[in-house]
Amino acid sequence: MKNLLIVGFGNEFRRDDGLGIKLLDQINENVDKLKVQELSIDLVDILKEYDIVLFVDASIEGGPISFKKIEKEEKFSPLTHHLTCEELLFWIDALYKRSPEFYLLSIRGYDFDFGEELSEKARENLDLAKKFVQNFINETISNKLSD
Amino acid sequence: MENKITISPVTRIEGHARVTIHLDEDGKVKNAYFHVDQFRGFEKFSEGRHFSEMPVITERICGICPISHHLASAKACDDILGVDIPKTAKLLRELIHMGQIIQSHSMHFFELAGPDLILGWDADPRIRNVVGLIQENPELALKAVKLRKYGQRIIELVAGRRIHPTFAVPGGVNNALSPSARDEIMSGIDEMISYIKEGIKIAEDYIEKNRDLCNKFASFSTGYMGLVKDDGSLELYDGKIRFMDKDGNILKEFKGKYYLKYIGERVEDWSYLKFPFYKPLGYPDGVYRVGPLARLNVADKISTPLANEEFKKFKAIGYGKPVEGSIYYHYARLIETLYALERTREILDDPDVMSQDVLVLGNVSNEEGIGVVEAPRGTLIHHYWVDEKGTIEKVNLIVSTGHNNWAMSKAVEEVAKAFVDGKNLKEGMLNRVEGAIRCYDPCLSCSTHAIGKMPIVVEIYDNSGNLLESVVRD
Repeated sequence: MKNLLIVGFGNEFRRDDGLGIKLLDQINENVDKLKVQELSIDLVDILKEYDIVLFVDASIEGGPISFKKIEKEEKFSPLTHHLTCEELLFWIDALYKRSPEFYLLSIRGYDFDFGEELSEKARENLDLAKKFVQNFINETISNKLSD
Repeated sequence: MENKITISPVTRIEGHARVTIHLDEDGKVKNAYFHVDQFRGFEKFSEGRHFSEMPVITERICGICPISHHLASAKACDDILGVDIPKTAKLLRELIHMGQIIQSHSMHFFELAGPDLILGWDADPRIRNVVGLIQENPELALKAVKLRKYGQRIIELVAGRRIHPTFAVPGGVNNALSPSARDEIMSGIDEMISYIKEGIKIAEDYIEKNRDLCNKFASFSTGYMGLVKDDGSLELYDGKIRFMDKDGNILKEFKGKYYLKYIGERVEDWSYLKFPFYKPLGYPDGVYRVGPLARLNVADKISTPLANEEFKKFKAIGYGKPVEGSIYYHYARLIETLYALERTREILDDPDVMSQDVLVLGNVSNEEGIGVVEAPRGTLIHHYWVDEKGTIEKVNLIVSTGHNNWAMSKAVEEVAKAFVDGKNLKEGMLNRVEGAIRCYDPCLSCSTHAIGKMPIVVEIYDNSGNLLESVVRD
């Protein structure tokens, strides 16, 4: 079983929507990373191999950064191809009888227009998120060592 | 660890759509529309970039079929260079395209369409979804995951990364195929074929038991458009565009580069998404459908044996005429997935696939470039205009969901008229309306190129224009 995976998702060409992807580019710690544009069902076969998965995404509201533990949820979007973190956790539990710990770090974005540059506020939030993730990684690794 | 826990929404949903159902004085459905309330933007965003960047820019349009945009774009770039790319590069591009078809089609059938077919239109909405599907048949759900993963793995092994590869470039591809990648892909084909045959059996059983519904559900006459090979067989990567009228007559076959001569785009004031039509017939007589149903309707045969056997059964449904019922999109989608798996094996068996000859160099030779592929949802057209240095001056993209815009609205109207009773509204009625849209597997982020907050809102208005009910599905 692998310990920690960080999943960044979003669209780099929709400005602040790419915050999750851009954050992964700034994380130099030796940890498994995965970039995706959307969350889809095939990911469950990858995520099930980990004890802890940290998702990083842009958010359209809330504080500069927000963090929560994901609980599995039997949701269903009848037309969309995109799954939520909660749905992915449900799939893993239902199909593989596994329950990795899922967390979501949301980084507040402001400008979701076409383009590659982040808004100024989003850049500030990205710095906060980077420190948060580095602390998260260090804490996860130290917890693992003390096990 | 920082102790800060806040609920925050994620943003990734593909577009924002709305269905409005208008009732007459008796509470019966008078009209229904499928609105797409977003705007287009990638065309503008691309202006001023160098054309060689387009394959990696446009694949960001969509998180579900980025490879289709990547390849249509690369083909348009080849056209700007005026080069014929090496055979090996064509094979490898087609190979990742097959991976795209496999992952996208299988995900749609098992995750989105499957619950309607396997659990029923009127099943409790709490279980009429993937949750119910898993509970009903966990092994099938697992196979759906594996099929999707297999398609993605083909892309990853051949193109180097699972999303947003830089693989296809103007003039070919930037990497040859490794023997280990070939062997890994080849080793999984038989298992995946067995999975998709299981899906086809589910679809065939459903059709057998619900023949009347399948023939009537969102069934209406349109033209059909899709790529075919020179011999008239199904083609998904590179061929000629065939246009068929509602009676099954082949009206025209033309190279993709002539699309502007035959395809017009109409604007309606109730949707931001345009309405393409076949110019010689005008609008609305020239409206047409694309995607799996259309492709099988326009094709004479399929070049791979297992898929062709299924194709014969599909053709028998129409007794020589086009198959019109929208539910048959699901069946056609599975047959195409079988073809994509068989075609994957054919490509890997071709000795030229392992050649190192994968790229030709060239200079900007043409002021325009046009690339056409059959994306999972239908014909995808990229058209670029450049200056002498290759800087993009103008872009036109016609995506699959756009071609089907008229048809989706018509499907909604047909199903609403058949099933919705404004005085006795039931959840299963609305599910059928959504199911009509689901047949087309629309990808709204792709068609509108915009981020949205919810997939769909269904609104019902009375004869005086008062909003009676609004149902949000997110």
